[in-house]
Amino acid sequence: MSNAISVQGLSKRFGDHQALDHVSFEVPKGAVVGLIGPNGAGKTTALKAILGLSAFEGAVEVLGQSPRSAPHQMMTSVGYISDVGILPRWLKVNDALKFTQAIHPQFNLEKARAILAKTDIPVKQRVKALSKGMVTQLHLALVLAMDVQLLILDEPTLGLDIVYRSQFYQQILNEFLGEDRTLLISTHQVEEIESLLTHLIFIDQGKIRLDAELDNVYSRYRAVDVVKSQILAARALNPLSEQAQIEGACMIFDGVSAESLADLGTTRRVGIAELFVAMMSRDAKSTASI
Amino acid sequence: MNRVTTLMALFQRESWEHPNLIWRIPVGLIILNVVLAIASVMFGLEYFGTENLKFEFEFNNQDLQGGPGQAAATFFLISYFLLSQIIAVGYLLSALYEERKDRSILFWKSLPVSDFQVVLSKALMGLVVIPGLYLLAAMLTFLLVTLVLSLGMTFLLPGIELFEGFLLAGLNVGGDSLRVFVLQIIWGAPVLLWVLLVSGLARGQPLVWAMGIPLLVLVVETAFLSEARIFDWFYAHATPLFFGGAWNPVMGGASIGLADGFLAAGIGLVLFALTVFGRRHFHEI
Repeated sequence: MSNAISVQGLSKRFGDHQALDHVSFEVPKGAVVGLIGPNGAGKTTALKAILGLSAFEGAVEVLGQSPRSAPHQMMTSVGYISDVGILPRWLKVNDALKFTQAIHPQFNLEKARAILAKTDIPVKQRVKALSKGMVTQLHLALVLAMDVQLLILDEPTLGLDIVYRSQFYQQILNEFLGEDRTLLISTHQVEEIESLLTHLIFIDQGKIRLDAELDNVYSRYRAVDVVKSQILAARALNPLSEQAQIEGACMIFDGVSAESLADLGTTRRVGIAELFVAMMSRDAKSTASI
Repeated sequence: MNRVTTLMALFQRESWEHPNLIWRIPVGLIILNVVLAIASVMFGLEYFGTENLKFEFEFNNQDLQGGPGQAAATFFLISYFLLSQIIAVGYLLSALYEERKDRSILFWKSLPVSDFQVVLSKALMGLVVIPGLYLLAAMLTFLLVTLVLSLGMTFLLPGIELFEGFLLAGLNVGGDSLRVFVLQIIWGAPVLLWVLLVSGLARGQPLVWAMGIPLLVLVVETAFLSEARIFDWFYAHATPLFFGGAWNPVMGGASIGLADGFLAAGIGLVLFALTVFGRRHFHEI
């Protein structure tokens, strides 16, 4: 089995709204995949279907199991953190550890305590007494101590300040990634996870717009800071987007060779955030695949 | 993780979430009654004194077992049991509703515990554990109050052994109430599991839905049929056996018809299955 997640023809409708429209993608084992999309694109709906948290049409397989048949068994190997605030407010930190140890076969209590010891979280406190950042740290400590193979994060750092966000991803890098462990993450703060990613999926209006390995994205899409005198020549190469700058314009090109772009200005690696904005701005109806 | 460990952890989780309903109220009742008993003995001794106290009749152990002892035991058992049924309804109303309202269901569902196990733990908590704990609290209250009164009586009426008589009466009533307790689980299952089902499905105001739908059934039955058989059956099962006339604390004995027992158990199972299905498919509000 080479895929941690396989999604084929996933569809979901809420009344008149088609939240997901025959979405298909795969997440290889060991990959770090960013699921990027605007609000209402279908990210959370897709993640919930993968986790067996909602009914759906299509075929989904997670670590060789169907989330439809026995999602709770699947959760032995899968960790999930949604946006902040889903830990019950009445739960004490110590009780959260005790409960998870009692019901999770792979939970390592010592590891959880060691992670929490590096934070300011008082273990006798209830969740309602913790700050948003602490709640996220607690949730992450629980999940990291579960020794799961697949971690699914849905806007995990929403509403957190930059320090907590940075610590969160650093901890994921240090304590989770490696040894064929797979991470699927949905976030708006794309720049903060760009260095972690190996794969990228853009989703919009319930359809996949881009599904590619990050290296392929970098070799296919190029950003050029075009000098003023070359703007007309650059436009002739049909850029994906054009952003005016003081001394010229920043353009992103799709599938244009580095040699062709060399005379236009300074070519640099395209950022995921600017590529995302470029693609969402474009009236792209067809799925780009590499 | 074996199933028993998981179930015990789920029970513990419920006691963390609902400490007032599950153990603080019964413990508080025990303390309150014991304090009241001590106060009444102290007040009695202080007010009457031991020398001037005269009873116009003779006590013996038989009297104490059949009369006041039995009445005291019955009082504690019935009042605590009625309270436990009200507490159970309150608990079940919020059992599956609150986790959807505060979105913590997303956390619970991210753990390897099945919907069946979660619903089972909540159903058993409402049907068995809460009434059981209150019954235990009633017995403990009776025992402690008896002990306090016995100590008081040794000063008032030396030679009268109140404790033994009361204890025998308590054992008699307690033994019978255990049987009622077991029958009540089947008897009350359709109503309590209906409440749990509503808690798992309602998108707001679970109490209104839990009471409103049976009342709607009553209205429909009254309007279109000659008698409200479904509502009457439901109403009968909403009345605890202690108060339904099927149990007599003095004469003893409680029973439910075999067919009605099977029907109650069957409907309870269907409601339980629907609740498991509901938790699988109905999420955050």
